[in-house]
Amino acid sequence: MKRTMATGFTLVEVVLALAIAGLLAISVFAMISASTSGTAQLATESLRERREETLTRLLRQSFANLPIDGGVVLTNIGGDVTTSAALAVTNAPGGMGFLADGEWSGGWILGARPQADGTATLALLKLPVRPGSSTLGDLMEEGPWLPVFPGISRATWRFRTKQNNTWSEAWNEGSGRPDLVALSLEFADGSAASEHLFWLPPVVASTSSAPSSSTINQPVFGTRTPDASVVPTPPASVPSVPTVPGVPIP
Amino acid sequence: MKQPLRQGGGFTLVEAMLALAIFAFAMVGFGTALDGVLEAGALARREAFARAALNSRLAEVQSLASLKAGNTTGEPDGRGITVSQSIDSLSAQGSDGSDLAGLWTVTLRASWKEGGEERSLDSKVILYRP
Repeated sequence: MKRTMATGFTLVEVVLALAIAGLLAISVFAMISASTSGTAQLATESLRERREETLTRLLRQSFANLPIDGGVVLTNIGGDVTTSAALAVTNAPGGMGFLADGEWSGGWILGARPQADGTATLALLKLPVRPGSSTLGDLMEEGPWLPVFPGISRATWRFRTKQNNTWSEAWNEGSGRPDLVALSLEFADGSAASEHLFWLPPVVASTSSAPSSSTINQPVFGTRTPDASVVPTPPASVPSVPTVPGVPIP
Repeated sequence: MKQPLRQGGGFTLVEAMLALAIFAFAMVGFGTALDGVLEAGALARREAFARAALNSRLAEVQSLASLKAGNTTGEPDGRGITVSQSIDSLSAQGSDGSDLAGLWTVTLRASWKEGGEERSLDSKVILYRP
């Protein structure tokens, strides 16, 4: 009688042990899959955030260093109506990190290009120094467009001057130089839209040689007016006056 | 011969409980670490959003032709970042003792909620708008 009790597990014991092992396995599996998907989501989001940060940094630099005869125009690059508006910046060699020499240093166009999967990709097109309208059309058609920000559904530009504090949705060749440019990005995956504002420092013509449109190969860089906000002479009583504003984070 | 046959045939209750406890500790530690990693990522992202919001507000303030002293607090944007600003006139004297007019201290603060905790980033610049 005693011997039969020691020969093995009963059915109940085996079932119980299996159930406990199964519960443990399920919880471990759930934890691993949660960690995998969480890490993947984190990677996707931080990649997009880094792209957005890089794009806005490039735009901030490009607008801050826009030459005096650099032009800002909202143009149409074709395609879907909601994504067709693109920002063209002309006579701006060296913008968006491009090299500032040669025939292909006229400026750039940044616009949303529709993709096959229904999303749009913000893409950059380098412009020649003196594009004819037909060349420009061919260029926009054929590219090469450099993809800079995939996965968006819409990019909207708005413009403002310091004389008129209302936003304008359009900006034509004759509109002059805006003081503030806003870029709104809507994302294809439905995450919260983002908006970034860019300041274009005011410029005045240098007194020695007035810039004309014929000098676009060697643009005359203007000097900034006093409201470029550098403190003129740091007074001795205020020793901690920063001379370079514009870097907001210590 | 007199030894009971059960001896050595399995784990005692104490051993089994100890093993379970160790396993539970390991799992709790793993979960905490995972949670920490995800939270740190979310915090870094929110901070980047707050920096972007500060940069945008700074651009807006810089583009204004003239400044007025005062405080404003905005509404949270789509990413939950609220930017408040305060503009104060800065009194300073030139080297000849004369008052320098047109200097403004602009203080910006981007604040947001992170896991029930209030967080914020500050930025302070001095602008010249005569």
